[in-house]
Amino acid sequence: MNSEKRFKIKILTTLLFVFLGVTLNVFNIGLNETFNFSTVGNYLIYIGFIGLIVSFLTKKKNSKKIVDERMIQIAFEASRWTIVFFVIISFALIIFDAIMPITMEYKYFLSYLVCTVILFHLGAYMVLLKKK
Amino acid sequence: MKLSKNELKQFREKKGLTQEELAKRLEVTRQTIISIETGRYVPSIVLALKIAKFFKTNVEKIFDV
Repeated sequence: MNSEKRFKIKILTTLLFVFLGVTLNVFNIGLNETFNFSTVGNYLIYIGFIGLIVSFLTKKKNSKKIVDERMIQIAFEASRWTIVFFVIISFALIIFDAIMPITMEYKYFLSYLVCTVILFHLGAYMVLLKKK
Repeated sequence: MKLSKNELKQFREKKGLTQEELAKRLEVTRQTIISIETGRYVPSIVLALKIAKFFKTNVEKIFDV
């Protein structure tokens, strides 16, 4: 998939988030407080706008950047490493939870886990990029 | 770890090109050229053909097959 097509898909997805958010707000759906945002609609609008900003900034930054086949191959390998890491860390957490129960709130726990996985992927990619 | 033997460095030097210049011509990164030259990365058929076409030679003359 070329970068232009990928950019269009990103923009359409983020606009869909904004549209869904506005629709939910208009029809008063999902008014319960979700993750400290007043409504589900507002949450979707927030994600949509953040996505739009990130998409435009990434496009501007990467307009002259070369992405070749080696980098794509390394990204796939980093993904494989990340999956293995995720499985190992899941097992470790199950064992840890059995020894010392995790009392952290679910939303924080998940946020930390996702951030760790993303950071691991980034680290694995950087290491492989230098190594290969 | 060396994965493949190739003559890319010799071909490049014969043409008087730097790794950076060759990378630009082939639309890849300099790191990719370094990896191919040192045998740490085996290029795809498409890239191998592109390299061969650039040096106006056959793939088997550059890459050990």
